[in-house]
Amino acid sequence: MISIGYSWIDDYKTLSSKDTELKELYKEYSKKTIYNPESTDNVFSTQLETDDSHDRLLDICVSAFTPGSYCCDNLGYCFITSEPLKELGVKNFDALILKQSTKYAIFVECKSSISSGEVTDGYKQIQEIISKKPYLEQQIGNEINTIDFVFCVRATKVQQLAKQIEMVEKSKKIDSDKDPVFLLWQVEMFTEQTLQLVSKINISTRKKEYHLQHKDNELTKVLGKGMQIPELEYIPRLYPSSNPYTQGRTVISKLFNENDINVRLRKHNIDDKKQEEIKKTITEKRVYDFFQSKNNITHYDSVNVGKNLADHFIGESLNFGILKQVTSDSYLIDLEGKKLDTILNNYKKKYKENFLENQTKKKAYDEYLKMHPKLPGL
Amino acid sequence: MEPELFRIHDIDFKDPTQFHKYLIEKYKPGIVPHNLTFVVGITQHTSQDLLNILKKSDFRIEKNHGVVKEISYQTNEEHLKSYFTHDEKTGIIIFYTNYRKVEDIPIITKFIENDRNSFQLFLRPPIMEQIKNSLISDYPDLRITNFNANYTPNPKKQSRIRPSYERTFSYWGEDGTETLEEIENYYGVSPTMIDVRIPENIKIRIKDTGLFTFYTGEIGSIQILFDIMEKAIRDSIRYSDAFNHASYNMLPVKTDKKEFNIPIAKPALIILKNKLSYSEIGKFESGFSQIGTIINSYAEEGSLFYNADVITDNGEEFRVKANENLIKVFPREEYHFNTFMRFYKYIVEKFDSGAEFSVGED
Repeated sequence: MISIGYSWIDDYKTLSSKDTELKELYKEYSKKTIYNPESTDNVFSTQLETDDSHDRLLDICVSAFTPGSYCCDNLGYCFITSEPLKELGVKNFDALILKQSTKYAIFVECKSSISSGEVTDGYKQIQEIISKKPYLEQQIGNEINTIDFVFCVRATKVQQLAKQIEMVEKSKKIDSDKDPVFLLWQVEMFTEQTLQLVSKINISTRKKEYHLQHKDNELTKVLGKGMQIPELEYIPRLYPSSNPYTQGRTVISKLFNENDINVRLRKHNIDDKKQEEIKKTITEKRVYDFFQSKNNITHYDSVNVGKNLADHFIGESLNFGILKQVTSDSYLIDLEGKKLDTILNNYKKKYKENFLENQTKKKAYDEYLKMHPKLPGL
Repeated sequence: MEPELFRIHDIDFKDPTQFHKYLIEKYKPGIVPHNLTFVVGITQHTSQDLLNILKKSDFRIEKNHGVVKEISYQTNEEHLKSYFTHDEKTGIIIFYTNYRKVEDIPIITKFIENDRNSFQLFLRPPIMEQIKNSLISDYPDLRITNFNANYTPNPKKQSRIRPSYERTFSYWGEDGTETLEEIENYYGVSPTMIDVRIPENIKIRIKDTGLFTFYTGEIGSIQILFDIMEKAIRDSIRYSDAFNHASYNMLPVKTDKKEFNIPIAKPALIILKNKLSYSEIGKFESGFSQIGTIINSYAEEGSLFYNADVITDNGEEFRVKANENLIKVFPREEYHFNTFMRFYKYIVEKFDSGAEFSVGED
């Protein structure tokens, strides 16, 4: 997820107004293709691609454990929440699967791209889960006695993942006899979609064969053979960590569409301009309702997670000039267009430009801070 | 001449088939002005709901002949009379009227089009082709005297001449049978409407939007039209099955002390005859505005992985997932038959005329 904290922006403004050096840095960075909205490989587009790719991998992975699947209905391993601990602002695992009767939890982290940094982060996440286990048990309403941690990747990336795991485990001196380690799942995305436990792969830090297997032999057997994704699939509208641009598109589409239908149904005698205004007005409550709805996002603490996402959407949209505050609890979608597809095109343009401008400023600001570590007044 | 509805005897018809038999035995063209047209649609409504909706849409039930209803529509600008049947088992609705094709029948087609749970029968290109071919083989001296045919650029079914151009042909001529075959060959077109004359005096029209017209013919010869209609109906009943197969639910998962609800959908499956490739996704999305707006989409090459969320002007939503052989349509909370059929029609007309529904495994 791209997360943008905006606290630095006031400092940037103050500094930039009196220091040409920062301005120069900004100018220099804005020439780079990664910050150029016209370029296809700017950081907005590449991040969006990575995030979407991640969400689609996660859809498939979760679908193997939702009600109606063999794993849930027959083995008892059911998906219960996306992103545990998200309500605390902790970026943690993507999904939690639980076998209620044996108190067996599987934490799954999907990766669309793999680097040693990602694997290292994964091991930090394990510690986070272990330290917050009592809290989590309370949240999900179930004790947890057994835990597996899993990295899930596309089948084409599994060798690369294994290598990174080995490297990180060596450097962190992880002892697979004592320490919790990651298991590997691979997903075949194309024609025959399957999820499979990869237990026959060479990772030298794993001392025994079962260090690559689930603690439940039956699950190991079933997933080892490969589980075809069932016909019933999990279709949330979003994940808590879906790209904020995607979240914005989804909520704007839904709320504008509802307004549009209401205006058409009422057939009132008001001019086009007023109609457009009604269609583009959204209340804070509806934004909250959208993000807190269980149809849209699956989370055990949907109230708080939804509230945070709604706040982020509103804050970022105001900052980017996508929303304009009308009253204390209502906003106007400040995008040209009468039809949804035009509005969405303009949303993309505005979001991308603002996002990249912010990224450029942030980069310049960080660089500036490095050059001037002891800034007075900051 | 003012249109007028043909009269029928006071009979309580038990089912549409009995009414069709009656028409075969009794219907004589020329008794009233204008030709007899059947407008066929398919619906998800129960008969009672359908009658209520007809009433709400300014139709009046004038008379009951058992399952056959005599209905009328009257506003300041337009009016129409028709018989109407609904087969609750198959969902097939048929309007039987002598009112005019251009001026009056749109009242009926608009009614079907605007109803979320109904759709005009859609004769896929392979079905139109089949109907044409079997007529030609049954009646060797038949003539197609008028037809419409069109072609949409399609990498899989290429026109021999300038394959990148979209085109529509309208043709009048006694040699229509031969001409249609020639332009099918050269320009890759498929017929969307044909006027067929079977010597000596039978003349019928078949339109791919579920319109069947009986122009002339002796008593009894309307049977040909019913046979054709049956064929088209048999093909279309699967649409309802495929739609009914799809579902959206919030399913509960229990822990010791809590319960969580998970959004799950079962898709309708469209099996592709021609493989869909990654390079066609741009084109696939560009024509989407006729169905709805794509909120988010994602495509991956290698063969093909595609995922898109769509919202329509009516607030209906669905997720499309596709690989090169299969398109899955996952409904969300609000999702109706008409939207589903429009999506299918779009696939058939623009991408794969052989695309078929499968109801998958249960």
